[in-house]
Amino acid sequence: MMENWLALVDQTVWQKLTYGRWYILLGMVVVLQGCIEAYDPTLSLNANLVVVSGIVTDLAEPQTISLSRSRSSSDSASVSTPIQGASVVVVVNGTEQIRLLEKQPGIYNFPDGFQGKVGSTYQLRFQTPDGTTYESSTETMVSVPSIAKTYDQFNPEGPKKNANGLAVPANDVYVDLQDPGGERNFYLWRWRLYETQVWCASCQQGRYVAVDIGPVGSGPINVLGCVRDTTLSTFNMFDYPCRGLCWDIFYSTDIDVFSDVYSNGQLQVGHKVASVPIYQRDPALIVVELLSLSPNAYRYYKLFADQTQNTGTLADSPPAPIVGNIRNLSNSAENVVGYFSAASVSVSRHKIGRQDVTTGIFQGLFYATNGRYPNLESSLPGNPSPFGGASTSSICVPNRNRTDQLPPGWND
Amino acid sequence: MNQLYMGKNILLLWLSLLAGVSAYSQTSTRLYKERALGSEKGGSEVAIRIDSLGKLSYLLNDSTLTAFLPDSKKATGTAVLIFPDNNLKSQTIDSLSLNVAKRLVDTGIAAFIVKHKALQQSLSGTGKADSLSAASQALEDGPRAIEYLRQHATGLKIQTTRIGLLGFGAGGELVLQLAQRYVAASRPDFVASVNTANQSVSTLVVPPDAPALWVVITTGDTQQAAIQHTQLYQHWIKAGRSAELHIYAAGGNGKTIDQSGESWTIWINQLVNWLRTQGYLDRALPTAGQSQAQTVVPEKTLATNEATTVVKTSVAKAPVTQSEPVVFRKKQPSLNQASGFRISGVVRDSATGQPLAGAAIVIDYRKSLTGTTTDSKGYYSIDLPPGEHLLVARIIGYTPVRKIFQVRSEPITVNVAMVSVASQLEEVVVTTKGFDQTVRQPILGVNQLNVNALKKLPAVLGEVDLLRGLQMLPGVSSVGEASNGVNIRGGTTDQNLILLDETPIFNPTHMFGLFSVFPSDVLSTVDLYKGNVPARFGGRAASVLDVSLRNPNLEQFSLSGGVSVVSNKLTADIPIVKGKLGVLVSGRGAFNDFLLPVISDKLANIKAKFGDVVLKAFWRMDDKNTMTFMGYTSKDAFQTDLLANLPNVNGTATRYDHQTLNLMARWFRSISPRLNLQTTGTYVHYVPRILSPELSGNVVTLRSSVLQRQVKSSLNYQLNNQKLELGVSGTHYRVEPGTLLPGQSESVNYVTTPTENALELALYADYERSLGDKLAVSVGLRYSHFLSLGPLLVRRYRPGETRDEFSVIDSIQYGAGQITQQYGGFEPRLGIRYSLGPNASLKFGYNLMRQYLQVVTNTATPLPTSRWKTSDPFIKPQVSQLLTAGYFLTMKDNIYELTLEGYWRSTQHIIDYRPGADFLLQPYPETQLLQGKSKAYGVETMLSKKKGELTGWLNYTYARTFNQVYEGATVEQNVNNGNWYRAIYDRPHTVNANMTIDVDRHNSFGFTFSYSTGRPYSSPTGYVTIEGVQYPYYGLRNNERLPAYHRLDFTWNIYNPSMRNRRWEGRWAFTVYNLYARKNAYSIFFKTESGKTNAYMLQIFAAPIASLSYNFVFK
Repeated sequence: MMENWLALVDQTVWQKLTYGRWYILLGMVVVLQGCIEAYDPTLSLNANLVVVSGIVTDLAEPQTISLSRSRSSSDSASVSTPIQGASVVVVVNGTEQIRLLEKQPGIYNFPDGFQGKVGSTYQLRFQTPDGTTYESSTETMVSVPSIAKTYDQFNPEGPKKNANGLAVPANDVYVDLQDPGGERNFYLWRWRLYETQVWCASCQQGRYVAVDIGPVGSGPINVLGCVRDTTLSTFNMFDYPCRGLCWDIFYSTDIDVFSDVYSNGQLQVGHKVASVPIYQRDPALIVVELLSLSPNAYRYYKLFADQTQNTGTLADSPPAPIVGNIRNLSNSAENVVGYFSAASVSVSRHKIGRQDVTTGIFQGLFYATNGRYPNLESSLPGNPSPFGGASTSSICVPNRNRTDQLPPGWND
Repeated sequence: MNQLYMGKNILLLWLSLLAGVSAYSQTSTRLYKERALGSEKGGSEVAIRIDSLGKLSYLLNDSTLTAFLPDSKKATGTAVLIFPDNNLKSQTIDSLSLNVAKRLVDTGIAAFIVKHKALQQSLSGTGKADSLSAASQALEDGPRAIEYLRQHATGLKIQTTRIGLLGFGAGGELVLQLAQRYVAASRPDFVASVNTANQSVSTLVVPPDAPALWVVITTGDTQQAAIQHTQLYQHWIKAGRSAELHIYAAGGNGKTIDQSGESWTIWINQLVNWLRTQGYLDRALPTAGQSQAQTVVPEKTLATNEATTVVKTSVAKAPVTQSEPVVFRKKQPSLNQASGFRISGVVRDSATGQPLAGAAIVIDYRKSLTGTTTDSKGYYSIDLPPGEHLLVARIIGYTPVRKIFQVRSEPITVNVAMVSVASQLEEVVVTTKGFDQTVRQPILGVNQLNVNALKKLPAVLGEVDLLRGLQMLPGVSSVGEASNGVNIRGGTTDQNLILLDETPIFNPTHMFGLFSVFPSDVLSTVDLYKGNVPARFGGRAASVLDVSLRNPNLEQFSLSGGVSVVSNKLTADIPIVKGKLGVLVSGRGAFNDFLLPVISDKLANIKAKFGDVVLKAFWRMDDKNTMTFMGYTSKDAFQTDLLANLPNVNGTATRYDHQTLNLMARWFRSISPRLNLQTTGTYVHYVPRILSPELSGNVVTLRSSVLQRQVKSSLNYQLNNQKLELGVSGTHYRVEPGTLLPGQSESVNYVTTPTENALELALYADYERSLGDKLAVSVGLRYSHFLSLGPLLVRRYRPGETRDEFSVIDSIQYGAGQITQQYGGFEPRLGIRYSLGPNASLKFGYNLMRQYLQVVTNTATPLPTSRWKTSDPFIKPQVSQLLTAGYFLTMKDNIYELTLEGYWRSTQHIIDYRPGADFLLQPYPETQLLQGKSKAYGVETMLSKKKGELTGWLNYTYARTFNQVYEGATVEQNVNNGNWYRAIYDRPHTVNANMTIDVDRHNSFGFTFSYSTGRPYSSPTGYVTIEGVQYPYYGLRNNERLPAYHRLDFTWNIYNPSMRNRRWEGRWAFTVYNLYARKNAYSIFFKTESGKTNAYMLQIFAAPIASLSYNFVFK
């Protein structure tokens, strides 16, 4: 068989080489192809973890601790259920015990007006409804320097890519920070961004109905919200402009930690804290917060960042179970995810004027987030409806991602 | 030999002879123009004495030919060369030869007496001291004499087809040798041997066209002569050749036939009678113009199958010893004119001349129409139409032969000589070193790579890569395509000692794992010791890769180089003092990174440049001393998105830059032929850096360095079957783990970590011996001692707790040179080979190795900037024990080789890391490290074909590696909860196959296929949601596997495409890597983006990569 095969090779190659003097002369043949692609692994999941999240800060704003349980099994990737009915206590300075109240499922609030203080120590203790007690380590709130300067720069190629694979231009936001010398400082940066929003409600196969009870424009309104109208097609969307001022809030999702190990006592210049994609030409407000962390909290957040954000390189660190600072008093082997820390916060509000921006459309936030232009009711034939006057503007409903109050620092 | 000169000489003599000559005439001709071999005295002129009575007396210094020519009326055209016996006292031609010559001349045969060398020596009184050399020199005289006669046949009035030999005694021995070994021009047509007395009569091989043989002897004193001659006669007859044997029983010393008394006439008549029956007494003078040897093809001998004695026709074709076709034209018409003409021929072994039966003959690749096989005599015949045809001959064990020939209007003969495969040089890339009779090499688990064959393998982007070639061996694997090193038998990459001319290489790849640092153009030998490591090597736990560069050419200047997609290289051999001092310079530079985005767009953001230069000088001081000097430097600069930025520094990008300088000087002194002393000094400085430019443009540099200096000396004593080596070595390490250089930065401080100093001393002895021919043993013992030196601040931690800042109790400051910790121990190395037969052997081995310098990194493959760490009070040295057993078999004349090896390895104090370990500028790395143990086992099998047109190998390996790390119960003190977990390079099944086809001198093809189970990776065991964002949770280490890795490569090498031999030789290599576009995964990772965790797969070479490269050599 080998003989036959060799004879075949002979035939093709030798004939060409000897009879026809046929040389293949190819240039470089290259095929372009990408190298990172989405993958769907079959994982054998098996976890039942208590997740604690919350930072005690010295800001004058409502503070919460959230407790939940994340279950993963082969049937469902991840189900997160809030732990309701737990008794949660924060011990301040070892003596004072502050009881937290559950206002929303799994979210336990500090009493109104509570503010942390630099130099105080805090410890979290809670007991779940099934009787298991957990306790955190004692965390000291250390002071944080103020942010020296916040500024932004137009970057025509931001990190995000649109549907066509092109980079979306962005505003890169930088901060300068004077690190206090003589002490070890660990920082956590986070931010939230306020963008003006002019479209406050969208209804699918329905109409937004708000009825003026009193005098139109100044009296009370009965908001019914989206009312189903089966005469419309299933995929029909109507969008309603906001009645009054409205801002959408975007939060930082990345974990950005920094340590002064190389730069103790120096002025940190040009730390890029955010790269805000320019969805619209209108100005926006970014509120940058700098939190001071304890050494262990810093290690925790850094490991988290390494394992979840800084992956995909040729030399990834091997993932490892992340150790928080909360332990089960009766079972020290249980690993609780999450870190209870106390941090002092220094806030900087910076208006991104976007005067130097050359792209983006005004009031284009809707288009950027929904991928389509707003569709007004009046665009349909047969409007206005013969059944009565439906309001064509909607209420800006405040929630975590939206506010109708003027953000502090907007008019600076 | 200047024929014109000889011709003139002869003519002069001839004319002078004719001037007044009688029936007998003699001429004497010098056979050699120059001084003949073996003659110490100067050649004198020929002294000629013409004596009509035949009585001569003259001194001969050189070999001469004395001619006795018959009357031209009587001349038959036959000639006989007479080789006299050599037990003579006088310096004249003996009377027996003379009488015989006269008798032959009477019958019309020209007689020439050859004063051959053996005769010479006995004449000059040197006796029979070195009969072998005399005989071999004399053997030259015979063919020369025959050739001379044939060339001057016309002048001497003899037929070129009627030249025979006649020898007496020692001359007879000569003559019988000549009857069996000849080339066409010097084939005697008949041979007669008279009273050849002794052992050298044995028949080697009777050629198919051996001359007719006539022998006469007496049984004489020993029957041996009679028995041997009888056997000779039988061999001749069985070969189908003509022979006649006369054995006289007359007693005592053979007196009846070799004396000049009357008795010689008895046999001479029989000889003459025989010559008559053979037809040599018929008058057949040569026709004018016939001067070259011609042989006639008789029809009968070709077709006959019986071993008949051929009586009349005495000649067959001359044997073919080259591979060129010998084409004859037959005079008679073909047998079947309608369908074409008959071609026929004989297929022979080119070395021995033996016909090959059963060889397959195919014409024009049309097996069904024109295929046949040779018969038991190697003969074949086929009818073909006129035109050009291609004949292919194949038989197992021989290289196939292809010939083109033309069939015109007559039948032709095409003979084929085939070269045995067993006689070729081994071509395969890798061989397991078998046992070497002179016990120069160790025995077990050594693989030697053939660098020339390595160059024929498919190479990525045209760069011949040693590390990739190594991965084709069983037991050698890596974590992926961009891996910075190889894993051998379950060891980590830093557990391999990689030596380039005895200097260690800390980072073996360029461009982060894509190419290796070894300059392939100047490699000489590559030895991989993965089983039994000789005691002279130490310092690493798993294996030794010993790469040595070739020495410069001391005689001739040459230049070679190449251009490829990636790099450009140039090598020059410069002899400075011919035969004594030479320098070799070789450099490679890669600046073609602008081409990388064209290949793969993930490589788009890579900027990579690298270069390496090596300089080697060799000085042969005298016969006993040589000095070698080697300098090697390499530099890499690359930047890629696929590597993380320098943390805690606000840099805009990150560049990796590393360079190394290796220097070596060696003095070799040969004290006696058995004893030599070798002293070597090496200096290695490896400096990796990370550069981070800031917004302002200032560059912040993180620099680390490893400096190693070593002096070692060894004494080698070698006997016939034993070898002893004793040696001592001392090494000093200075490791700077990292320094942050701020440059002009206002944001970054100068930060440094304490420098580590250490000393490693070793004493070793290696003894190898073969006991009998079955057993061979190699025993080595090495004692190594390690001292960690100050200045150093050593902390003490609370026992039982995690080592961190909170468990420090106190610390001790050591001053410079003070010993902070010592480690040491014996390292026995044992290897045993037991031969089961000439082709098979069993091998066993046991090794213990200690490692004091290791890489600390928690990444999948070490970065070039990863930290090297010497052992210290907290980090114990790694100790590895390896047990191996193997079976080794060669088949079919060393063409095929089968190896089967199993191993078990156990390593203590392997290094692993706490979760979130960070070594960057960490002054107390013990707070980040954990130590545990590892076990690895496996079975490796390999089958290779080493010679022939098709060479290659196939290997399969089953190998597992597991680690266990447990220093305490908390998550920071153990890995994977203290359970055994798979190492990152644990790949159970691996298959590698390679095939190289040498089509002809100018083309070769190669295919390489490799398959391997995917390496393990850590995948989440659950997901957690924190503030609306989903994150992965990893509960276990290395719990999943990547998909399997497999890939096929192809290469086509074209040598000297213009097909002419010139001073400039070029080679094109066309390569396709990953031929069927397998998207092999390098890693699977999980990334949290916009609140959700997504899984991705990273592939490095996901598409076929074709490249073309050109290499040249200029002499």
